[in-house]
Amino acid sequence: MDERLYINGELVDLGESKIVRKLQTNDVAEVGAIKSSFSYTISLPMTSKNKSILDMLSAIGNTSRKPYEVLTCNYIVDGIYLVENGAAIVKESNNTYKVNIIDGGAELSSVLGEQTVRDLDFSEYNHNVTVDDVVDSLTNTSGYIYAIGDYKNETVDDNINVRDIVPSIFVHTIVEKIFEENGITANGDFFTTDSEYLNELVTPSNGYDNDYNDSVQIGNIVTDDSQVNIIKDTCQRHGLVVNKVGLKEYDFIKIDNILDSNDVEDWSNKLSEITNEKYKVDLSKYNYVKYNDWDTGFTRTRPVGGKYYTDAEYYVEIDDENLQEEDDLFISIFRMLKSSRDTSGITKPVYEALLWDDSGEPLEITSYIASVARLTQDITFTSSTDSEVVNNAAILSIEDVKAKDIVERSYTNYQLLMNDYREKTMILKLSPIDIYTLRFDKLKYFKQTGRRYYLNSVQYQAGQTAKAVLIELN
Amino acid sequence: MAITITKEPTGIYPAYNDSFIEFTSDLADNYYANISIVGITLAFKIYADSDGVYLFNLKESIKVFFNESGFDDSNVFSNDYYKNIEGLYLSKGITITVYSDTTSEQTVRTYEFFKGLVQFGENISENDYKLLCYSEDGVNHSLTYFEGFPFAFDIQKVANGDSLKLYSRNTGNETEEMLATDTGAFRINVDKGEGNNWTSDNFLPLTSGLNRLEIREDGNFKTNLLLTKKENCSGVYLKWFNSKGGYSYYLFNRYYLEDISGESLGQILNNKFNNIQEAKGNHSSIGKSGAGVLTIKADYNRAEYEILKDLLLSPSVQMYTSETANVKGGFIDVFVTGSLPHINKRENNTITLGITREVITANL
Repeated sequence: MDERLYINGELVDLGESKIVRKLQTNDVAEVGAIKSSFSYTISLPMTSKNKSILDMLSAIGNTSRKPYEVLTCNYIVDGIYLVENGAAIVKESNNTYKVNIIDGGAELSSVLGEQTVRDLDFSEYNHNVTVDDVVDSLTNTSGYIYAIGDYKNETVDDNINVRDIVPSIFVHTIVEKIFEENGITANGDFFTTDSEYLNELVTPSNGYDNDYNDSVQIGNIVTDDSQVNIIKDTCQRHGLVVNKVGLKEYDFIKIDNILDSNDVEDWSNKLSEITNEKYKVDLSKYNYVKYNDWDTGFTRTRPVGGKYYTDAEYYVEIDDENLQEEDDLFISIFRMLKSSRDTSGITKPVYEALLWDDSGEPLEITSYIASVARLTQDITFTSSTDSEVVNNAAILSIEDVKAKDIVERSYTNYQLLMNDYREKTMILKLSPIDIYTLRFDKLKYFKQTGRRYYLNSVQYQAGQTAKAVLIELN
Repeated sequence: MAITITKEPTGIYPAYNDSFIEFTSDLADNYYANISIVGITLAFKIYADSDGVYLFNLKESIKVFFNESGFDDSNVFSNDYYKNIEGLYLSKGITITVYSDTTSEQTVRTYEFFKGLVQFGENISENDYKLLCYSEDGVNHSLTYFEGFPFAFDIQKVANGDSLKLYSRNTGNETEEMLATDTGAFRINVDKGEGNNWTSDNFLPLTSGLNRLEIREDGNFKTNLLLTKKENCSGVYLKWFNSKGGYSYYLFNRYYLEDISGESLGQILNNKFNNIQEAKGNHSSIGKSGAGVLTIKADYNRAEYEILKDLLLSPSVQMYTSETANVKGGFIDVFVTGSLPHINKRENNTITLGITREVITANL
């Protein structure tokens, strides 16, 4: 078996110990975690060639900076690139150099780093506090839209002053900007076709000077959360699995779609042995999906034989009496809307998302998540000089974004997977080609068991059988 | 102000031995030094001891230059009988810069190295023209040549423009002029292994048995070579990298024991889902790793013992694929095990070796 490792373009000497790669997707118990495959640490012998490549690291008096740099690496087995444009990090040296290989380049979280949403460029969406700009926004499906809500703790009726309404930003606009400005390629059709996702909004996170004709700088009012958290929150609320497939290139796919798919790979010929079966997953009987403000007085509902839930919290129930009672599956960074007390003449609920206090001072808040709903009644938008009547006004809604909606839309098959949980460890015959073309987003079928499986991880060493962890679909 | 070197490698120094530079500096308040070596990107930084003495070992850096091609012989040629070769001799410039907080001073040294090592108590000859093989004094060398098998010897260092000739004291014959085109090691082919050798091509005909040869530069004596020629040979021919930075050769008996072994890489289910009437078995082999082991022997005398001593410790041993003289073959890598018991009371002893060569097998 021809095994080669290139670091910074130079072929290194490999020792007796072979490179062991562990490829994995999200752990099913860590929904929305943005993980990637990586390799174990390899030990490179301290040959003169390797020393030269690492600028004489470990030699007395050396001033090598290599341990403090991310070195590029390619790992090729029998001509097949199993790691392409990966990262090599020298961790330690004693008799050998201990080097960590991270394949496919940096993880998504590393690419995004500490950047926040306000580091993005929203200048194209800047506009003025005018009737025209408010009304024009009503047909937007990206950028921002003026959706009716209670932003000042005042009665909201069908005559709305443009100073009493604010632009909410489409979630997908923020996500697209994160990908675009970081040079990230996001594969999968979720971001372009999922109607519920494309209809999601986040309200501003602070009040602002909004006299008539004032300029509204979207970049100054949009949530200032980290870009990593935005992506993670989106993945969690929509049950997305993220797989790194190249340099700054990631596949995003809904786990429920994977589990429900008929596009299954027959791996019957690859199975050598099933060595182990586990029945416990790191979850609870009731695994809660919550919004940030879940404990702030939402109306509770309790179905017969079920647990309490609200608009801001719902659960994925696992039928296993031996699990602990409850835990959080994830908590969204956003808040959930509650109905306003004061509305007059609006035919749909008006939700409170206060950005100014009663004395008119701007507030800083955690943004709310919402969907866009439409009023079919006449609404008049006014300013000091203009007014216009529309019959397609947008209004903040909780439809499709409630915690229960999230669970029922994105975690139904996931729940089935977790019920009767069976995690099998299998010994597989995988060739370098199999590793190169490995897909976590396709179920695997084994004739030997007559079952389909969700592939969680593969541990592979060139020339050896591979060890895989798969979860049986029931 | 001056940098005073109190210890440094001298002459053409063995690259695989420690090569310390020790120095002090007159520079007021000096406390660290950078050592820059031509060909190494980053300088080395060292600090003086409490007496202001700096110490640096060049060995790790110098080894890097010699080890670029490992221990394989990258200088094989068959279109001529002599040539300058690379990778066995090195001249390196070292810049030492000593620093205080405000200023620095510098000195440059040049050191020469050969790709070998020397044992404790062993003499390092000052003769540049010594051969890269065992010698008690660096002037007189003894080698055994098996006619019909590839054979060469290397001179440690010649200077660019040197005019070399080999002179036979047996016959009074002399070779044509061999001109050095560079400063460095110089290889002289004796036998190309395909029927072309000194005798057949009239380069410097050799007699059977002992040939007393001299290497002369511009008519001046430099080195003695006692070359024992053996004819009508066949057997297992080995070539190995020796401790002096060159390559040694020896022919082992043509009668040997060969043993081929295979080790299973494991078994896997064959997944044929057959009932018993159709089934031939449930498992298939992943494959096997194979090895061929030859047990070979040879007799040797006292002079040949010094040549063979390096064989068991050499990092690179190769076996010639032809066992017949003047039949073209090639060198393949092998691994050597065995021992070299030597009773110095006897004129002749016997060496027994195990030679392991890789056998290619088909694997899943």
